[in-house]
Amino acid sequence: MGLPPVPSPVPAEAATPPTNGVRGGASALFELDALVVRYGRNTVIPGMTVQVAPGAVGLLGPNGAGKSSLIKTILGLVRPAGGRIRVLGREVPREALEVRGRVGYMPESAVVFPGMTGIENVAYAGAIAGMPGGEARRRAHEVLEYVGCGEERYRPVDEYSQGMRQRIKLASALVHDPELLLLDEPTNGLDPGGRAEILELVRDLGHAKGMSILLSSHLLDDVEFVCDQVLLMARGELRAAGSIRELEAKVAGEHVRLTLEGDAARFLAAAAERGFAPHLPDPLDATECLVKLPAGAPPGAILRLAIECAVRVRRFVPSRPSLEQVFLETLDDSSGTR
Amino acid sequence: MPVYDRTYRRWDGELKRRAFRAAPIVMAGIRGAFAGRSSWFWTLQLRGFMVVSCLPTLLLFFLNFLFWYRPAWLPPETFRFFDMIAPYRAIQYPLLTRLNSMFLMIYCVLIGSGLIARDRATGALPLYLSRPLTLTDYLLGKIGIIGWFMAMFTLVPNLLIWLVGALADPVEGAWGRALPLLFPIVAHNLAVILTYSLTILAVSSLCRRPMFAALIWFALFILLPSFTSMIGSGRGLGALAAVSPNDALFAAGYQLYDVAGLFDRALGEQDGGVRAGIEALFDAMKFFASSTSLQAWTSVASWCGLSLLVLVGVLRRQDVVVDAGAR
Repeated sequence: MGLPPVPSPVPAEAATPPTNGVRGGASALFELDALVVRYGRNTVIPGMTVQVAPGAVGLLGPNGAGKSSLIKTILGLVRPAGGRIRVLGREVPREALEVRGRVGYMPESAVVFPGMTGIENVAYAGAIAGMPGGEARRRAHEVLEYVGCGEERYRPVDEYSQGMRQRIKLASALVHDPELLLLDEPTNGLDPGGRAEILELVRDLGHAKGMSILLSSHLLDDVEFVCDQVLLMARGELRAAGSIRELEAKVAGEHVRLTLEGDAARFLAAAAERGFAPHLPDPLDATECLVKLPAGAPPGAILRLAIECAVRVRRFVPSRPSLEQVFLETLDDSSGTR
Repeated sequence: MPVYDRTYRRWDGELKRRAFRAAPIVMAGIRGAFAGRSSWFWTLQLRGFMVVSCLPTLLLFFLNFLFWYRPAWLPPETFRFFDMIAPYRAIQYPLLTRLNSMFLMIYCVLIGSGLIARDRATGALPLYLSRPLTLTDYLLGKIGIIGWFMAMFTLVPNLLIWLVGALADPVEGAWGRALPLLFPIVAHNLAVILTYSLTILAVSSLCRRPMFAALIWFALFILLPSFTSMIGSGRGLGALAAVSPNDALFAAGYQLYDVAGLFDRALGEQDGGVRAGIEALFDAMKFFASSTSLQAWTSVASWCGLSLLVLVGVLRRQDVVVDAGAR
């Protein structure tokens, strides 16, 4: 059941559809070859091999999957304990400085350079990246305009809201016009409106402006909205990789979304026993569930099971496989194989 | 769909490969200190203090200028006094550094205490290191900021006074006498700048709040000297006095400028009231310079080395490890 782990290395052409108009001469965005990352005795990534082509790539996984560690390793901030890593055709960490000049990084926390205004912050980010002073300031105005930062840019960043800080962080990552944009949970702590705006910008950069993006998130909707390809991580291992359509096709089968009333727990246990692979989109709400029909099983089998379990089915909606299902089934599979 | 301007323009420029990559950090840090945006009180305090801290330098500068210009409105005895003290003028450099050390301490705390502490508190370090910068560049940048302020009150005024002093010397062969002073001026002031800068940054890297860094640093530079001077100087324990960075720096300067030799010569040539005055000054200076040259320089090197170890150790543990080979 679920997706089998992706054989590694994933060939670039198989993992990604051809991306037109993407900048940079490198054939691969990054290549990992048996990458091992450790913090002291704790192994975060036990050995990952993958090759990712340019484009908008989502890095999906639950908290603690090793996404942030992978991003830091790509930047050369964390030295790998083993294996090889090439980013934009350069060896990391040996050529980390070269890579960092071509990469923009938006960290997960709401961190900005303290004690400066918004415009100073972005211009400073450009200057320490190596841009000439005046050019950095001019460019800072441009990118702040792009991310929707108006007169607020002249206010000290210490007074900014979370949403404004996210915009400043994005502008700082963009100021030197990088080839690859690394976004670590860019919608963290944002209200729905702010989240939609940031995602719109990132999608625009990835699709209309030809910038390669690595978007790390545990929010499936964010990744689905922005990215064409996905790397799915769990416990430091790569569980699946490929375009979203490919991955969805792999979990193809008839799925049904149910709203239950009664002893839902009993129904879920019985469904799992009979191979219906039930998932709860919201773990706190056992009445809403998603089941996958085994090959050849009629939809009525679910209803019969519900009758057996004395559970009323209030809603029965056939659904197309989504990234959410890919995610859940892959995680399910990975926990099952361990 | 957002309503703001969605145009993203490409940037065709090239990133500069600076020989000194930390330069933008230094420049932004100095500008930031002068901008003093955090409060009007801070701005007033820093700028007012800057004026006050220039006074000893300006006074010495003015005296050296008088020496050279010799205006007619000054009584002739003044010129005779100038001529008498001319051979011992080197003493003004360590004295000026000592006088300015009070101001240096306050600058260190006002400017240096938050330099790394604030970055640690906000988690800004990965932001620096996600750019083409190494940990060494970051450290050099921070040292550059505080070092610039320290230099403005040690090396720069001393060099200016040296220049005016050399020009003011009425006796023939003035440059020949002035040039040997250049090495002690540069060496002593660089030692002061490095010790003050590295210690405040080390303390700042250990804290997340600048106030705590300031308190620890004041304890090192005020309580420790008081304690060691009290015990060490009174009992002739020069090594103990050298534990205090301030006293060690003064003793190092004392040896570098050969202050004892200058006093010996002065005492040999003078008598009466002048001799008594020289003796009193000599005793006061000796009190703070009870350590030997070796003890003083060992102490200075130890303070700098220890601070550097703390700095690198703490920063390397901030969830980022930068490969030195990446340079």
